[in-house]
Amino acid sequence: MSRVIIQLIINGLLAGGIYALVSIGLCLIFGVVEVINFAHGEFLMLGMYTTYWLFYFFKIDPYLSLLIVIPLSFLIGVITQRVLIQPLLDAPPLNQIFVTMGLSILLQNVALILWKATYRTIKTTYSSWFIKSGGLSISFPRLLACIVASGITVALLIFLKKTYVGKAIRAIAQDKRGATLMGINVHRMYQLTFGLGTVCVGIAGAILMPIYYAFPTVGLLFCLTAFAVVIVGGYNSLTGAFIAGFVIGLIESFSGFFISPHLQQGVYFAIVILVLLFKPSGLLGLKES
Amino acid sequence: MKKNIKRISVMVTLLTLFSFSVVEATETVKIGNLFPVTGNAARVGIDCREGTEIARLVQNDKGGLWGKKIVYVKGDAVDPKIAMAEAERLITKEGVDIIIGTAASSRSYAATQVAERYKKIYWETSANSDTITARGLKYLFRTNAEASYYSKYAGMIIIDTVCPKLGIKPEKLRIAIVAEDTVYGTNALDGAKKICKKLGLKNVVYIGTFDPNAVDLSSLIMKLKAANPDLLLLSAHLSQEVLFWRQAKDLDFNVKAYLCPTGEGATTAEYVKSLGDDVNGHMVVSYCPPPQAVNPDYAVGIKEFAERYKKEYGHKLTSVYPLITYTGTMVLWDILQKAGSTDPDAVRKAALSIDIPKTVAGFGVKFNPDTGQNVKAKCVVIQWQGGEMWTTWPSEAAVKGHKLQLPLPTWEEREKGKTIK
Repeated sequence: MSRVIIQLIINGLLAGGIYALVSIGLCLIFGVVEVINFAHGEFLMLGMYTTYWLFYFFKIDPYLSLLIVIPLSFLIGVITQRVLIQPLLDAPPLNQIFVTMGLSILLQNVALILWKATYRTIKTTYSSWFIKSGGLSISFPRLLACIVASGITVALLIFLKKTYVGKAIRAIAQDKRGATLMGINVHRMYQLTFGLGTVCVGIAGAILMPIYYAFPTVGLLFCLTAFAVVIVGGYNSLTGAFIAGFVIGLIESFSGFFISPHLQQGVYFAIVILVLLFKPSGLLGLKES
Repeated sequence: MKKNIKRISVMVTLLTLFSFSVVEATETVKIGNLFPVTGNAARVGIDCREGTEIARLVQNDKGGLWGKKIVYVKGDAVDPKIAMAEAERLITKEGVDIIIGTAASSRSYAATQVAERYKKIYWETSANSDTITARGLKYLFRTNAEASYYSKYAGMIIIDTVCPKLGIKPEKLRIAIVAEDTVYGTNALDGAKKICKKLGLKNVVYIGTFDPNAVDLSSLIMKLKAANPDLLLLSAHLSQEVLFWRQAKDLDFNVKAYLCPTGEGATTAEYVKSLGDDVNGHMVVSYCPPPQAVNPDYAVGIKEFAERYKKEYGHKLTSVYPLITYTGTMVLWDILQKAGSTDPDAVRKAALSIDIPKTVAGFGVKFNPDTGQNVKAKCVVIQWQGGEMWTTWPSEAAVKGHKLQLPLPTWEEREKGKTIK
């Protein structure tokens, strides 16, 4: 039995790594620009499709395709912020929600027209590599996703804490007015943040491709989980989102085994509701000042 | 004078246009053609429409119907609501008496009601839910097998071949029944449960559903590992099936036999593309055989169909769906010849009078007058061998040299090169 428990923990952590990776970008945008980006899942979808087509046409390995996916995602993020969000910064929050929702539906349908509803998968030699020992097994692409998620979180935290630009971004997150008065170009920082957030989710898309499949509405599946992760972790805490990703993964793994596989989403959304009721700022979120 | 000339010329133009349209209308037979070609059922929907298109071309080459060419008025059944609106449009605006459909059961269930209300023929060739014909609609006919046939066939092959090959008595065979939590999945689950009970397959060690939107199935697989079944019956759409087998391999979950009781994704080219050699040995119940891998004496005319398909679409036929809709549509042409017109009552009478012993899909056609279901529809069981689908059961449909092979090698054995060819 103990072996089963250890395997469940491994499974939970591996799934959690993917959730964390998808959620970090959402959390960054949420925390700094204060926009709920409903099109986040569609950015994941675009990352997955880019990786897929690079593999399909040019036989570029999914991990290598990051070299193209990263700048492309950054560009998409910056353009979205500049064209869609920036004009609405002072509009009521509802307008911002509707514009990202509209973008989400638009992107889904464009993907449907361009690439059809077919499920696209990549089969690489390492898609089904796994590390096996003592009756336990760890999937190699999932483990890699986990490591990348951790790497990105650490890199982002260092960037935000140590660099001048990072400090500026944090300053805006804490007090937009004050930051503006200090001469920080808020719009440019917002574009940068949106770009970085989109890069995170683009990377997630690329390294998901060897495990999962791309289709026009794939973003919805991950986006829902990402929202749960961000709420549980605290909407303005990257570390919180990172940890919460693993927490949700573990909850899913255990509730799926001990309760029922078709209730696993139900269980963690029940937890989301509890968090909202009793600790609205999340596990590591800062209280509203 | 000038005004008059203008008037006359306008009238002449209109008259010519009108007379042309009259001439054209008398020379064609308009049939409604309703399939989902966008949205989430599009992949199967497009395959299905291709089959009906080949049937139309083949018949037109033979001279069409009563000397007139057949044309389709097409509709897109994106979802059940749109399917209803499209059926309504085809009947009221386009004036068709017959609609051919529909690939997806939920769309068929909705659109057939509209046709019934207008007393028009609905010719179902591909959607398989039992509920469609269970309502006893008067103008609905279905040529393909209904979903419960699938579990019947699954049951038959388990008793007839799987148990002897594994050397396990039916009442001892450890069975796990798993399905995704959708109408399609739960119907299949209920069907499998019933058939196990009926056939004395008592040792069901696990029954469960899972979230069709799950992005991680590891806990389900852990549960299955703990239940340790000999035979797994899994009904899910392509995407979840692929995810399941990838994770089953990661987590070293082994079964002696795997049967997909309701062939969906497991009979497509994407399945093998996504899973590679790991599909070898998987069995699937399908409502018709894959065209390239069936005994041509069982499915007479299948070669010609496959060749025509390649000619029209420029690629080899791999999906099983075009064949099932082609079969149903060809039967419709026979009936229309007999009926002499598209008048729904005449078509109904002709449909109820026929008894075709065998079609190109290998089964016959005779309609139950109460439900409109083809009682002679049959399924086949396919096994993936060497990266290709082969019809393996019933034996008269199987190609020589391609018998059902069991048990499945374990992942460890597969690693060492053992596979089913």
